[in-house]
Amino acid sequence: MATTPRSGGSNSGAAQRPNGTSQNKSCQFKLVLLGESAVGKSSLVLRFVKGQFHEYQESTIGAAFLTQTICIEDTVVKFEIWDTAGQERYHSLAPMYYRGAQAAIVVYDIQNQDSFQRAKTWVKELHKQASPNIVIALAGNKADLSNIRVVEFDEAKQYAEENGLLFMETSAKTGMNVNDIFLAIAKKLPKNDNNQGSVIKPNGNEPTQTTNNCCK
Amino acid sequence: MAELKAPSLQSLLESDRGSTDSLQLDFEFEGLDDVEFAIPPTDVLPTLETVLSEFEADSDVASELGVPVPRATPTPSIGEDCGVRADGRGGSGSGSIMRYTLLHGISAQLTSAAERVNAGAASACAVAAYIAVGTSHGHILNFDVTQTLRWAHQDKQSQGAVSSLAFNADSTRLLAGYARGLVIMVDTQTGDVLRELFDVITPNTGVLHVKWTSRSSLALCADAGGSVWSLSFTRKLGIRGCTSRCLFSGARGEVCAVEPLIMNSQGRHELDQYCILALATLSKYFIVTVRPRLRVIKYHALQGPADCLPLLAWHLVLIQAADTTRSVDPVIVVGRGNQLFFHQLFVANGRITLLYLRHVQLHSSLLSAHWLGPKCVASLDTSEILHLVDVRSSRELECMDMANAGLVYGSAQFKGLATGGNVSPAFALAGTNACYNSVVSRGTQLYVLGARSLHIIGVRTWSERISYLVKNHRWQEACQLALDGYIASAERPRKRAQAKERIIMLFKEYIANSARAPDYCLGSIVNCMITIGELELLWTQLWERLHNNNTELFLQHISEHIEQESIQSVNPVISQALVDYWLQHSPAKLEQLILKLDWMCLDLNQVLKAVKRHQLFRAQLYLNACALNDYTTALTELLPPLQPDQTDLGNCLLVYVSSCLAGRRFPSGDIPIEQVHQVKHDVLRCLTSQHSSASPQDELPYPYLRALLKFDTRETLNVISLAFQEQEFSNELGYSHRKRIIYLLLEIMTPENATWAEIGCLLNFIAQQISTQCLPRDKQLLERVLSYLAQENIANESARQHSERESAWHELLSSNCLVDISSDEEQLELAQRAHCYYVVENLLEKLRRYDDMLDCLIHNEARHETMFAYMERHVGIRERCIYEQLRRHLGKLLQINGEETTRLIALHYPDKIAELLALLSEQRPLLFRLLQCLNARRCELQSTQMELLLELYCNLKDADTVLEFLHSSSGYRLDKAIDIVERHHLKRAVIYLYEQQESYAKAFELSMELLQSSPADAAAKEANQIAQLLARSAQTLPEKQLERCWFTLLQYILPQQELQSITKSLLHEASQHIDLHNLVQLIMNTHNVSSSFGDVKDLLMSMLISSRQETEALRAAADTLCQNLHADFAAQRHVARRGLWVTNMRCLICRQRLYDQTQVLVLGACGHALHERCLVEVTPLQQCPRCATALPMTDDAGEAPQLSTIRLPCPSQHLFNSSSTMELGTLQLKAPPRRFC
Repeated sequence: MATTPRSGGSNSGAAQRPNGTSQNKSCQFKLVLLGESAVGKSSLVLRFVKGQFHEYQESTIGAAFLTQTICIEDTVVKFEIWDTAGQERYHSLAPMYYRGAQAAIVVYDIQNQDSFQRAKTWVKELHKQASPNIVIALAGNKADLSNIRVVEFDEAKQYAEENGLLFMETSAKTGMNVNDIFLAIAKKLPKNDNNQGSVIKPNGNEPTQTTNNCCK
Repeated sequence: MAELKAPSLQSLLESDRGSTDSLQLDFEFEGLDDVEFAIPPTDVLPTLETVLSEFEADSDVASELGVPVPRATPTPSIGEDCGVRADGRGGSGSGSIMRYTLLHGISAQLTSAAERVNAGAASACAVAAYIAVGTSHGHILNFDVTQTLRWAHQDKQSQGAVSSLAFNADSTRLLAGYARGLVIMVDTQTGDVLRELFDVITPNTGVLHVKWTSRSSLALCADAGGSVWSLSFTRKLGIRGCTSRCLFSGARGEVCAVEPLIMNSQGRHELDQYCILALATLSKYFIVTVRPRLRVIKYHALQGPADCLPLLAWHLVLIQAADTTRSVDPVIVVGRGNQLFFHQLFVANGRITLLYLRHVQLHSSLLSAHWLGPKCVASLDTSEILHLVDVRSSRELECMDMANAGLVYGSAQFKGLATGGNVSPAFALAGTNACYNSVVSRGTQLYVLGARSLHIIGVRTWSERISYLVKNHRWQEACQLALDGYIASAERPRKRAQAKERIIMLFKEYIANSARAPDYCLGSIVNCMITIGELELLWTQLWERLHNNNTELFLQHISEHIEQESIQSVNPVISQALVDYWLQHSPAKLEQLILKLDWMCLDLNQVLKAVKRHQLFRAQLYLNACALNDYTTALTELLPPLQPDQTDLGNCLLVYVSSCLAGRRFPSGDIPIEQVHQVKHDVLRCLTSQHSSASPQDELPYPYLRALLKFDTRETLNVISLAFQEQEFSNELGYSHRKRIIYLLLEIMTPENATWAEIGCLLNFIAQQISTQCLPRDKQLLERVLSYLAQENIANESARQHSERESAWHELLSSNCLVDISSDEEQLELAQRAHCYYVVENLLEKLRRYDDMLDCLIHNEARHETMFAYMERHVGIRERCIYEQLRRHLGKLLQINGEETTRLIALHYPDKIAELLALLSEQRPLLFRLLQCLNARRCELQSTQMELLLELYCNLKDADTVLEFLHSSSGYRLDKAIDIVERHHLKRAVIYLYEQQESYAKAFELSMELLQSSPADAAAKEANQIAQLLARSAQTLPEKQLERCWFTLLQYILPQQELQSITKSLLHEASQHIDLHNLVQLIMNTHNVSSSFGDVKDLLMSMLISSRQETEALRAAADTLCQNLHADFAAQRHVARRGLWVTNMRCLICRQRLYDQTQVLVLGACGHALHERCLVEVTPLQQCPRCATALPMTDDAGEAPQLSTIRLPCPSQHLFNSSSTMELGTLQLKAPPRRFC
């Protein structure tokens, strides 16, 4: 396990937790991954959620669902991640998933110019169709193969800045920047619950069931 | 801190200044820090209810005091699950409605008062803002809401026990009545006695009740003499005074119960201006206004057992009338015995009216009845069990045993023990169960006074009941109750929202409390949340608490709800877990769930991979179509490997294709309208695509369509024909599509790749399509179809396939499709060769060639029924040649249906029967069939024909059938029939016929032959038959012959050992017909030694009996005869002794005088007479010629009736002489005259 955050289910014993954590806020966000097929969306999520990497990841059908809980400062953030399929024929499915999402990661492959162009199209579509408050991150994946890169870092960086996106080059294989990009998103997401329907604020005096230890 | 405690009773009593002491105590501690000592702020004093409600079943304290806590007894009258609703609150959780509390502070004080200052046991109590308790030694203790003793008052006048206590409306004054008649008024703040009233009631009686009325200065007092007094308090010039007035005198009926109506509605109610009072005696109850003037509003009789007191209680109740008007009116409950009556009091047209509302009957007699809130009445019965009754439903909600409370009774006051017992016996008896002053109610609480304790019974609200159940971890009941409440509040949104909030709170309590056993009562809580629609809490809080521990039960519950379709969508986390769980346990169930779930909540990647792995093709088709909008991929995956034996998959695919082509979604619903066209197009293109996506080398063209056809040709074609009815196929382009598909089908279904049956299906399909104008009439196509249709012989063709072929051909013919390619004549030939008789039939009809019509009808088994109808219909039409054809095919027709054929012949060709019979003379079975049917139709057959039939019967059937035939039919000649039958040696038939001929002797002889030749086991039956025969013949056969026959039979039977069993019955039978003497002789002669005496004994006995009977009869007959003779004689004598008188002086005949010395005949009773010589002239004379009186006649047999005359001696000469005036001597009368006038 190379990741800092622990997987959601491994710790739920409320009894062991000191009372101090009961002050924590708990948020839940819906996050969607978009991008052309074979850019490494599923690998990215798998690395983030389970800390694993498969050289030959099966292609996703439709969409896959995963959850992960991380802790920033004293807020517990639970991501509900919809990892959509990149193949063209599933394109029509994507709006179903990004429509209610609070965050999106658009992934491209740094060795593939087409995938970068496709990512740009996705960003456009998100701007047009998704919720206006959506936090979008651009991830240039397969950064471990930067020696045969086609998309330059600066080019992507510039594009991201122009469009107000978070940007990182990541590598699901090495784990580089994987947690960071999710953390960055979590930080950028609004934590107050007045504009988030799905945020659950635990009662003051009862022990929080939904939270996990962030720091171990 | 010790000083901070409430002053003990001891200290209060010892202090001279009474309660002021405690006040001073308070002043001393004025400077205390509230926070330091956690003293509650004084400006927000808690109300009595709030404080008391906090003693939520503090049973620990109660048990410390040694007072057992009453437990709710199981209620026998209502079941566990009975849904009694009190104001929409479920009542299923028994034992949760009533809350019991022991006021341990007050109880402790009472105990210590009794022990230390000899206050005696408690005798009365009153509850308002304070709680006052009186004791049997005249002490009054006043407690505030915190159960602190505020003051105590000791009676110094030795007035006996405190019998009654009452607070006024604002709790500033306390009235107390004593057992010896004193009434005092006390200031509740200080405990100072303000008034002491000695003479306000009937002297020498005790006080039973003191009550305040709605007027602040008016109180009531009832005494043990049964009188009621009003006490008006005055304060003139600062001097407190009181005037008492007698309202009701006990002399006119002793009042037991007094209950003033106190409304506290501050003038908002019309009744406020009145001061109203309810009174009850042992026989009636009254509603009375005291102010403005004393008047009785209404009174009712009140029956009940003698030892039961009447009970009265008022309460303001919201009453909804039938016309939906609502009003808040006081309702009085009147109880006596086990009855409760409810009456509403209201003002109508300026008059106060009492309206009867309802009646409740309980199971046992009551001690008390009090309202607990406006909906419930709490009543204590004589066995001290408290019943809570819901007024609206008249049902008992709950009951509780209060026996341990040690309830105080006021019997001593009712019996007047303190005043010398001068009360009426009825009063004293009724008073045994008096507890008016020891059970009191306030709000929704009932206070029960024990000798040394005070108990509270409260009614919990819905929310409190849930809390109570939660506290006892009765989750199931709590959930049920919560849901009941939620459901009951359906029409009231505000209440519903509150209920929902409460349920969410319950859920949180559940979450907080069930950490140790997370799956305890999981089902009910899940059900609760789903019902109120708070799914998010389930997915987050409940799920996460269950996580990793025990999700199985949770998932099962969720699955159940999905199956019941109470939820369509779950959290993706749950759906993932569900899929995993059911994949392990039952993939089939998973499929069910997937089909019912919204696809948006599924992890498609997981589910689709799983369904593909587990071959859940329904789910696969559904998800591909609905979620991925991909209607063809699943087809291309599932179709190629389809094998004919995978019926489930195959049928599923057929349904899928069919519904897609019809614009419907699989398995239900519709495809969005904008996609329909695309979907149809895609699916059709997919089906008709020439190569699959994988496209292996050896693949035959059109793999998908081929796979479907291979699976089930017929159904596939059905699907296609259904699809052809869609709009897409009906335009110009559609026709070409159709054509293309047909050619595709023909290309696939070549004889090398398909069986003939399948090709037949296809061609039939095409024929149908062409004939229904669904396909263009393509000559090439038609020729191909016809060549198939006209095939002479198809291997393994089933009857169904053949008939389908025929009907297809027929349809083509009838739609005139084949005109272009061949003529009718050619087709006729083809059809005949192909044995398509239906087609032939139609062609013949078309060509008007009726001669061979029957021929093809006979060949076509399916048309046999129609054939007869056809013949029937056209029997009169000459050109149809029915008779000729019938003649030709008579044999076959008879074979097909004998009855119908015969019917036809008998009905339409009765004159041709002989001809037809002659025709069949060679074919004996057919001839027989025809004759038999004719006979069965009761046709008039000639006797020769009958005999022919008999002959045939004898030839073709067995003896029994012949006999049956002979029995059932007539019309044959007996002698001929005997000849025929004898020829066939059918002896029984011969015997029957002989009997018919009445030649019993011959019949008997034959029968004897049969008997003698028959084996032993059949002989008995045979012998019986002969006996029956003889019995029948008894009428006709001469006696001698009959006897001889019997003898022959018996002589044969008797010696036979093996026929012993029937000997007796035969002898009996014989004895009726032949002389017993001879019979006995016969027996004696033929009887062999071994036979027992028993057989003969009966016979002899019957002989003896019959002899005795005959003797008896003879004697009886002689008796009767004698009697008759005597009676006759007596009658004759009577007649003879009657006197005769002659009324006429002239003869009836000659009109001459009678008295002319000739013989005179008097004609009897009428008195008319005639000369005997004149009689000759009128013979025969049978009645009196004058008055038609019947004359006595001799009736000798064989001779003409003659007048029977009785000759009487002539009157004596002496008589005549004595009457000298008349010449009587000349009159020779035949009867003595009696009267002459």
